[in-house]
Amino acid sequence: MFYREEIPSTSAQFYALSSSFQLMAKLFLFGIGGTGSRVIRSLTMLLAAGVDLPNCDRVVPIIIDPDAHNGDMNRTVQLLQSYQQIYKRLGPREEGFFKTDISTLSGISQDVNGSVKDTFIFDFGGINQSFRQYLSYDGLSVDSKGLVDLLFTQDNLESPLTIGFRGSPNVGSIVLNKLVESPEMRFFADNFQDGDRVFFVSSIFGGTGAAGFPLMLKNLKDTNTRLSNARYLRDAPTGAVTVMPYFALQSEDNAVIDSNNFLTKTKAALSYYEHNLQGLDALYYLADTPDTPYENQPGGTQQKNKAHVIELLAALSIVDFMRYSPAELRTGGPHFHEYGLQADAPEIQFSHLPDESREIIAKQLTQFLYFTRYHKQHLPTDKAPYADNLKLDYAMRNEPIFRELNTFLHSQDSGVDQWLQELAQNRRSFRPFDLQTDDFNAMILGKPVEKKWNDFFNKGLSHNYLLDNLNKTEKSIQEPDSFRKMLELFYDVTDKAFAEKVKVV
Amino acid sequence: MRYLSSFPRLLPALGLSLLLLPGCYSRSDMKTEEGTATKTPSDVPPTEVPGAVPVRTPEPTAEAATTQPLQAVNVFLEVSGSMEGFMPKTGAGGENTKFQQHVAQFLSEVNRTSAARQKTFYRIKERPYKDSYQAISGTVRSGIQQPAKSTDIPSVLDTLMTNYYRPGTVSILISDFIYSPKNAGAIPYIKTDIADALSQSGEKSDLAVSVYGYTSDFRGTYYPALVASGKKTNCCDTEIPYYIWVVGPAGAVRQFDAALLEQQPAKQAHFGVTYPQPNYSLLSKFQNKGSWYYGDAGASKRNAESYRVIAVSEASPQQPIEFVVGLDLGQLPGQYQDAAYLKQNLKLQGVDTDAKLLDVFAATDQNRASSGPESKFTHFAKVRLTKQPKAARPLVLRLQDQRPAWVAQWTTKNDATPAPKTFALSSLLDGLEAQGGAEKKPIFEVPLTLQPAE
Amino acid sequence: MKALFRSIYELIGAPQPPADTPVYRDVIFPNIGLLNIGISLALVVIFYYVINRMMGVATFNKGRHWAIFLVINGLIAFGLAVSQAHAQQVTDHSYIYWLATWNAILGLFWFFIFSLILRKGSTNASTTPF
Repeated sequence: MFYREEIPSTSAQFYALSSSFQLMAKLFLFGIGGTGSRVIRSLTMLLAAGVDLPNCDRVVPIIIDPDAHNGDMNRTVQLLQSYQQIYKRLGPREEGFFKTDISTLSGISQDVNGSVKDTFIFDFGGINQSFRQYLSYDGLSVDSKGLVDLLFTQDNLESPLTIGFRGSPNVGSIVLNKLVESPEMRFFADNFQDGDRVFFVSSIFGGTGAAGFPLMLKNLKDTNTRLSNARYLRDAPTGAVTVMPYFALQSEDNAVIDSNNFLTKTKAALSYYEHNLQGLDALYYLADTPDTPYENQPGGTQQKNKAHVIELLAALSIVDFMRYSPAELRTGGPHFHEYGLQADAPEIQFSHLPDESREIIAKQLTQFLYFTRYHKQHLPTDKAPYADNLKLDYAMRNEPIFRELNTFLHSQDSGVDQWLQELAQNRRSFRPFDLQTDDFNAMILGKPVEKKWNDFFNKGLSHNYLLDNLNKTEKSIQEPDSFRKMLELFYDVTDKAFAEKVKVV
Repeated sequence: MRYLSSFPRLLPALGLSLLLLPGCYSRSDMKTEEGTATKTPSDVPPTEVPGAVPVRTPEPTAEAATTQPLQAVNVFLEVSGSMEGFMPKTGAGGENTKFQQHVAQFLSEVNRTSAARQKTFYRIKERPYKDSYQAISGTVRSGIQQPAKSTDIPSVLDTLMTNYYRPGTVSILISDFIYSPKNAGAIPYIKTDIADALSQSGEKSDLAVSVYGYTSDFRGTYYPALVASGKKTNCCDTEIPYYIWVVGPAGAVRQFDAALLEQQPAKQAHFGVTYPQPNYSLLSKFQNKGSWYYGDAGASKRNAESYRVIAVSEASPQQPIEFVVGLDLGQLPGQYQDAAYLKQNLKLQGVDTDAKLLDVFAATDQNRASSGPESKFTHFAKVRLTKQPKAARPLVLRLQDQRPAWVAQWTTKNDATPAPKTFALSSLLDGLEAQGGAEKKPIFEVPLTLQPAE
Repeated sequence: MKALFRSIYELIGAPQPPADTPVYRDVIFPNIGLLNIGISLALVVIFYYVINRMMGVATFNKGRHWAIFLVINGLIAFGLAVSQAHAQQVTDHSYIYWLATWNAILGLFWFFIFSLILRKGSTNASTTPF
C-alpha cells in the first residue's frame, strides 16, 4: 500500500551526519478537538505497546481544544502524563514497551519566560466568555455588526466558548486564527529544528478540528510569518489525518450539534481543503459509515466517547507517516492516503487488517495485552523467583512508579484494559482479543494457540509457561532498577511467547 | 530449548547422587573384603589394646600331622603270666573275656586303619618279638601258649623309648601294668624308675603318653604285685583292670588317640599331649545380660567364631554383665569335654576385675540346631562381672590339666585281693607326669580382653 | 567417616540393645548416614533442577510444594533407617524407631541445607522456601 524508497548511500551519510547534530528529531503532533485527543490516546497506547516510530526520538503532542473540561481530552492527558512518568524511568531503549519518548511542549527546552505551562494542552488563557463578547460585538460598527450577523447565527454568538465551538467551524476559525500569536506557538517555533516533523490530527466534520487544522497549517507555512525558524517550519515534513464522519449522534430536539449536518459540513470542508492546503506532504483520509449513535454531548466532561477503531487507524497513519523518509515525502508532491480493510467485517480481528497494519501492530498489541493481563491476573499473586528478585511485592504496593504503571494499564477511566474494551464495543468494533477469558491461549480471537492434544506437558501459553520463562529470563537480564527490569523482562517473555506459541497472526 | 543446554551442568549432581545410593555397607560385603585382604584378622593380636593377651595360634605342625597319616604304629602286647587270665584258652562254651573281645577288635582296627602307614605287632616277653597280625590276633583269641616270666615295666618302657621312639610313630602298649618291684623297699621309687626309664635314652621334649584304662573279667591265675601275698588261682569274681598306653611324640599320640581310641568308653589320662587351641568366641546374643558388646575392631565384619573383646558400657552390682564364651572342644579327648571335669578345672583369670565364671555347660540339641553362632560350639562358659573395667585388661579362660579322679580310685597299695584296682597306679602315672617338667601346662588357654566401651 | 556418623547418630544415645552396637556403628550408621545424604540431595535435585528447571514446571515452587518434598524426605529417611536395621537383622527394639525418627530429622536437616546451597541454580524455585 505504501511505497518506500531506498535512500542513496550518499544521502544516507548526510542524513547520519545531520542527525548527529540534531540528536532529538521530534514529531510535533497537533491534536485538534475531541477527535485529536482520542487519536492521541490511541497513539499513546500503540507507543506503550512498543510500536516503533521511526525517524523520531520524541513525540510532542499538543492538544488544541478550547473545551478545557472535555472528557476525551482529560483522560488522554492523564494517560500521557502516566506514559511520561513511566518513560522517564525507563529511558531510551532499542525496543520494548514505552519505547518512544513523549514530552510536553515545555519539556523540550528550558522556557526562559515561563509563559508556557508544562502541559499537553494548548492554553487558551481562560476564554470564559461568549462568542459575542469575544468579538466585542457590542463595540462594532453597524456595518461590521451586519457582517457578523450574516456569518453567525444568534446561537453562535450567545454560546460560551468554554465548551468549544460545538461543531461550528465558522466560530472556531475566528478564535483559532489568533492562536499563532500565543506564547505556545512562539515557543514551538523557537525550538523547531531541522528534521523535526509536524502532524495534524483533526476531524473534518467537527467544530474545532475542521476549522483549526487548515488555519494552523496556513499559519505555520506562511512565508510572511513572524515566527522564528520559519525556514525550518516551511520545509519540515508535514502530515495530517482527517477523520470523516464515523459516528452519529442521537438526534434530540434542541440539540446544539446535529449529526445530520455532518455530511454537509464534510462536503464543504473537503472542497475548501482541495485548494487551500499548502505545504502538506501527506494527507490521510479516514472514513466509515456512521456507527452507533454517540450520546449527544456537545462538550464538557460528558464528552467522553468510546475509543473507536477509526482513531486507532488514525494513530496508525501517524506511524505510517513517520516510516517515510523526508526524501520520500518530498518527491511527488502531497501524498494522499486512504485506508481499506482486508474484509468488511463488523468485528475487526487481526486477520481483517491489511498485512502491513498487521505487521505493525499485531505482535506489539498482543504482547502488550499479555503483559496487561498477566499484570492484572498473576503478578500480584505470583510467588516466584522473578517476583522475589524484583521485590515486586513491596514495589507494587509502595513505589509510585509501579502504581503509575498500574494506573496506565488498569485505570477504570483511561487504562489499557478500558481502551481495548471500548474498541470492542462499537458497532464497527476492533475486537482482536477475547477480553473476557483468562486463558492466554484463547486471547487472540480467531487464532487460538495450538495445543497438541497428545502432549501432556505442552499447555501452550499457560501460566506455567509464562512463569517459567519469567523466572528463566529474569536471571539473564542485568539491570539494577527493578522497574526497568520488570518491563524488559515482560517484553522479552511476551516476545518469546509470541514467537514460540502464536507464531503468526 | 535453553533448558536442554543446561542439562549437562546437572550431570555431576546426578552422578554424585547415583554414586552415593549404592555406597552401602553390608556385613556380607565386608566378609568378602576381609577374606581377600587379610587371612584372618582375628589372629592378629589387637595391639591397640594395652594389656591384651596375644592370641595363641594353633601350631601348624599339629595341623599338618592331622592331615598326614602316621608313619608307623607299633603294637606291643604283653604276654606274661599275669595276662593269661585276660586271654584264657577258649573254653567249651566258646565264651571269652571282655579283654579278648576288646583287644582283638582294637588290633583289627589298628591293622585296618588308614591313620598310619605301617603297622607292626609285637609280643613282649623279655624283649619284644615281632609277630604278624594274624598271629597276635590268634594269641588274643585263643590264649597265651607260652607265658613269659613277669615283665618289668621300666625296662619295657626303656626299650620302647630307645628303639621305637621316632617322629610320626607311636607305640601302643597293652598290659595290666602290674608293676612288681624287686622288693618292698623299691615301692617308693616307682615314680623315679618310670621317669628314668622314659628318659634313659635321652630327654624327649615332646614325649607324650596317653593312658586308657579298661576292666575285663579274668579267668586264670592272678599274680598280685606283691609277690609275698601269693598268687591266686581260678581268679576272679571281680573284673581286673588293663590298660592301653600310647607312647610317642605329642602330635602323633594325639593323632592316634583321636583316630582309634577316642570312641572307646574308657578311663583316660594324658601326659604331655598338647592340643591345638579350640575355636572360641564371645556370644553377644546368647544368654547375655547387661550393657556390653563386641569390642573387636570391625566386630560387625567378623565371622561369628572370633570375637574376643568385651566392651562394657555399664556394669554395676545392680546391673551386672553376663556373657557367654562359646568353646568348640570337639578336638579334645573326651575327658576334657566332660562337663564335670570342665566345671572343676576351667578357670577364669583376670586382672583388675571381679569377673567370675558362673557356669560351664555343654551344648544342648537346641543349641546345636540354632541358627545363631552358638550352634558352632560344643560348650559354653558363662561369666559375670559387676565392675566396669577402667582400661583394656586381659581375661583368660584356662582349662587346668588335672589328674582324673578315676586314677585314685583305681589305685591300691595292696593288690593281694583281686579287685578292679591296680597296684601303685598313681605312682606309675606320677612317673609319666614327671616327664612334662616342673609345671603342668594347661590343656588350653583362651584369652579375652575386657575393656570399657568407647 | 564412620566416626562422624557414629557421633551424629549417638547423639540420641548408645544403640540398644548393646550387643548390636558394632553392627550399628560399623554398618547401619554409615549406611543410613550416606543414603540419607544421598536421598536428600537427590530430592533437592529433583525439586530444584528436574521439576523446577528441566521440566519447566513453574507453578510447583511454593513453600508448600517444597514442604511436600521435605516431608517425603523425612518419611524416606524414617523408612530407610527401619529397613536398614531389619536388613542387618538387629534385635527388634524401640531404639530402631528412635533412630529412624532421628534419621528423619537429619534428613530434614540435610534437605534444608542442600536447598540453601542448590536453590540458586534453579529457575523456578530459586527463592523457595524463602
